[in-house]
Amino acid sequence: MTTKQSSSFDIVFKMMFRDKATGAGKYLFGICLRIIETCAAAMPALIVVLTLSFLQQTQSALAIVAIICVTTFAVRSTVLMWSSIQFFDFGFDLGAHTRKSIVESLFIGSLGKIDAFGPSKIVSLMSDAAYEVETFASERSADFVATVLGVVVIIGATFFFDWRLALTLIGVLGFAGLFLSKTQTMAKRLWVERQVKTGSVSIALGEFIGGMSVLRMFGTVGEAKQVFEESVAALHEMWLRYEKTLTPLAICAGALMDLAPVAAVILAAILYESDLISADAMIGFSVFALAVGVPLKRILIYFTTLDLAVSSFSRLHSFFEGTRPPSVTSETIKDASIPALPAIEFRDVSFTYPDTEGNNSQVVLQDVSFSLPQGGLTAIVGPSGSGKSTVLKLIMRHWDPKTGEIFVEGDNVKSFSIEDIATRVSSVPQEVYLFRDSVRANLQIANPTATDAELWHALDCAQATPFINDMPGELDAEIGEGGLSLSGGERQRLSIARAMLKEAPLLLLDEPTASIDGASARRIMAALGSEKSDKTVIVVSHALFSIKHADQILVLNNGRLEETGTHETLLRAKGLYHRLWTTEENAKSWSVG
Amino acid sequence: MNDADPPPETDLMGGNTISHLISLIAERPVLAASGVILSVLSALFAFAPHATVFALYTHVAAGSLPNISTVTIAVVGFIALTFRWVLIWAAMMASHVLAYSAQRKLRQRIADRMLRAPMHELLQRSSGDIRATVVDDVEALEDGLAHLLPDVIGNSIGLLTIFGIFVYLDWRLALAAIFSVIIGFVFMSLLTRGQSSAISEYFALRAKIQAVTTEYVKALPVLRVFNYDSSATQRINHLIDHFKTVTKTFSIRSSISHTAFLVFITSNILVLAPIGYLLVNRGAVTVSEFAFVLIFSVGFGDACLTFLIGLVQRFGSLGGVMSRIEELLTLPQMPEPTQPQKPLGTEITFNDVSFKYNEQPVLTGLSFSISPGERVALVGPSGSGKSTLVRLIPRFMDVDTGSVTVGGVDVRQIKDADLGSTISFVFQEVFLFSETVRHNIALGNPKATDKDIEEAARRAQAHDFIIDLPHGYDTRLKEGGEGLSLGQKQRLSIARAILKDAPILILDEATAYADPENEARVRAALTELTKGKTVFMIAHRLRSITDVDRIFVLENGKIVQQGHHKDLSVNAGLYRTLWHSQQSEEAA
Repeated sequence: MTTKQSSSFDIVFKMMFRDKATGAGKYLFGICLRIIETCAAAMPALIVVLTLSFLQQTQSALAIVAIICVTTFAVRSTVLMWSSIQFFDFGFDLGAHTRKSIVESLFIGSLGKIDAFGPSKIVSLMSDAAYEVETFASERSADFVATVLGVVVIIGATFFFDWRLALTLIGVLGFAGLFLSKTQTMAKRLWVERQVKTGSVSIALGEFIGGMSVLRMFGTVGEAKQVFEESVAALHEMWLRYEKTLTPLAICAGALMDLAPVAAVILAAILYESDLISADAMIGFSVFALAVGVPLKRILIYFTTLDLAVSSFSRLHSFFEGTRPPSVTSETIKDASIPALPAIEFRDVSFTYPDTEGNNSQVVLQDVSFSLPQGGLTAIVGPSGSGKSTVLKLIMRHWDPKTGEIFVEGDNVKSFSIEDIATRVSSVPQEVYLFRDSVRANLQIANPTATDAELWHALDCAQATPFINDMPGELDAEIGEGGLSLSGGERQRLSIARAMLKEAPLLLLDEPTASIDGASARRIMAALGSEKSDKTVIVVSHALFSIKHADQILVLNNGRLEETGTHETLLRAKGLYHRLWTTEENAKSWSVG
Repeated sequence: MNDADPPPETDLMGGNTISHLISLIAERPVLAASGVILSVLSALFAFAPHATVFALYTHVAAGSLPNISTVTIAVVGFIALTFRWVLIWAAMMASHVLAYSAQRKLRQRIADRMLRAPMHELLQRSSGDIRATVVDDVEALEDGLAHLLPDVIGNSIGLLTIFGIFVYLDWRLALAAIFSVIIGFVFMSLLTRGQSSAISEYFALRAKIQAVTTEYVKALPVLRVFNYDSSATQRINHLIDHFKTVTKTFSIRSSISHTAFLVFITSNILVLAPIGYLLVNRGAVTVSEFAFVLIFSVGFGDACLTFLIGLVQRFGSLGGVMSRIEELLTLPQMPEPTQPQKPLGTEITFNDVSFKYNEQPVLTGLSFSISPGERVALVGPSGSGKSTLVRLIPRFMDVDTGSVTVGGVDVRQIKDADLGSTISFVFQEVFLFSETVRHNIALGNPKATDKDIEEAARRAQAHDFIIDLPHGYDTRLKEGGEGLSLGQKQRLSIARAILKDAPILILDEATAYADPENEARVRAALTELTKGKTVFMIAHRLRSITDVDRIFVLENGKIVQQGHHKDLSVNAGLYRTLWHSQQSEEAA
């Protein structure tokens, strides 16, 4: 076993038995029962041997044989049934526990890492990985263990015929096993190599499919089809070439397992011819050598399915480890000398998103420092990719900065757990999510005790009143899953109203008016600017015209804070802000002649 | 084997796919036949160890084969077994060669099918899914096919042959030998009896858990920020517990049949031994006949079980694969022109055109004509059918009734190449190939010189950013044009269209403001593109179409107004309403 495999074994072992409450005892009991079952399953070989020796003898032997058969059958059935129940109990408990752990991680884990992990991967953990784990625990692992035991039991029995033969059998199988693992490693490596090489060809195939409309439009279908066929042919050639090596390697496995017992039988024949063992011993051993082939073949089949199970365990393990909630430092550093604590303060913050391997990819923020007073409206603007949304994510502790500190009302954000932060922050994310429920219910998750009057007030500020009034049932109107029956602008307005309802000192909005027309956007931003001054509002936006009244504007560019000021001071500075503003103004006039 | 698991839902068995596969296999009969023969032979040789043990037994017990030592017998057995594996290797290679060739041709057939399908059928499916089917599913099918011959055919014939020999020796022995295996099969069929409601509940719950998880994952930022009470976690945990109960109950209930199935199938010796012994005592069979059957029955039941396990594992998942391939192989096809003609000029007419999509009417009784050189804009509320209308012109799909003509010829009678060279199509979705920038632009005109390409790029306001790329025009784009901003991608697609210089241009004006930072440049590129052409464009900002020759106002699949902006903006109607509301938005 390579080291990689043994650490996988560790992971599997840990995940299956880490929580004693889920019945490791049951599993063990089940295994004990399977040991008995395995012995019973090996009986037929013994029965064959006995029968063959009794064949020349009296009728009374029939009774013996018959009794042995019936007893074996009865014992095996009972024990197998009983052990199945143990494993089902254990396995499905583990499955439920695993699924619940995924849910728990979703609700308390690090949001940034959950996001980076990938939503579809998470869903697949819940459906596929959990299912694999459950099946493995409730059946397959026990079957595998029992099969291995079957080999052990049968080999053990051969010691009764002749210890030399038994040892030979062990030796030959051991040698076969060693050779096998080498060929399997080689095969795996070739397989991976093949996958990599065919990747580029498969991309060409994919492009043919994805670009079909373009190809049809440009009348280059004939040429594209030729490229497609060449890719397919290339794929074909490559696979066939690899198969010439892979097939023999795969076959080695089966061949070795098949030939090993027969090799031992040759030795048995030699010993017999040399008068070292009796005929009975030779025949008896041969029958058992024949019988050991049965579990051996089964083991090979299990190895392929084991891979899938083990990889599911690994994926789950990476998810749990990877999404641990960020640590909470116990110290809070309130600088008591500052009378009016800033709502948000960034000190030399730098941040880089880790890519999928956990390595650092592009730098998103560099040495950003600013201070926002409590109350008031701050806008964060800048070209795409300048790091605006990341500022909000760092405040909410989706990620922690690589260097620098962030303070919320004087406390280092690292002293808050994610739940703590959630009580202080209300947010309008870029992607709007609404539940399949009434408008009222959707709004009330921000503030369950809000009265209808308060709901309407928030809707007014968000310029949502007109379309809500148009809906049948108004506040009681059902909006579809994800709020699908509404337009993009309407959903955004509801998202804004919802965020406004929450009683939290910080309100963070990320591109809240992207789907909203200019006039409404202006009014919404104006309302946000004039709301009760105890709320600190931070808006990330591309729509400069809507935030020009902000108390402070932060201009980010390529991760650095390039300018700060009010709209007027920034225009006078004739810097980046001025350029962005002018471009926006110019874009408004154009016509096709 | 997941006997405790309910069997997978029955999918379409892919009748078309099967007939395609059969025809592909039949194209190489020699290979297929050799595959089968080799598999059968290898399956027979699988019993070499049994034959060896039997030979050893009769040699010592009955003195047969007197001049041959036991060692020789054992060695012969060893060689025979080795030969078996050589046969398996040969059978597998034959199967793989056959299967790869079938795979390749199947992919080609799918591609052919896709090329003649109406675009909306293809667009309905994500290209990722289609790719997964053409690449992964067909590969899975190859794997299944390659193992079909040796595993299924070879093994089953092998087992049947041995059984046949049993019968030849003595039918009673034969029956005793397979009695418990048969009983086992009976129990296997009983596995899921009376549990169909439990099975559907199982699948329903499984789907539900997946759906709720998807919902939570999507809603996570909201759920976490708004401290949604624990009812969310309670809801899904409750589902998980319920699922656990259902699965446990189902498994335990079927564990009787499950156990019986397993035990019976592998207990063939337990029935054979006493009965055979009895028959020998009565003189009904000879000792050696019984010994033969007894020895050859070692592992017989297990071989049946392994065969079944292999079958289920290998072919169980093919249902889904087959039905997905089936879908692509049965894509509707747009008929080729029967009397192809070339279009004369660039007049576009719609004659009483109707089009339905998913049984819903999208366009009804549409008639209009656009003269060569005219610039026409199409406006209307979302869902009025604008996108569909313009896609009928380059024959991305066929009309249900009526006809569309370009240059006086029905588009259904114009060859793809001719139609393609007459029309350029510039929309928001840009597809770029992972080729060089040069190659991507040159798609517009494969015969273009580098100078032509650069000229087109300049006019499309793309030259500046292209020369900033690491290798300029020879920079290889990553899949899908990653690394470029949306505006840059669009300017490349405009360059492509400029190079093509087709006389008719269909475009979506929203192309311009999808990327606000590059809006001005994209607009300039579009202005270049539209010079001197017959233009038909979908417009969103009415301010940009004040100078076009004609405007069509589409509502619910019908043209309700047409004319110049001057008139439409003052006469009562949908256009004026739209115009005023857009004006007031800008002004506020």
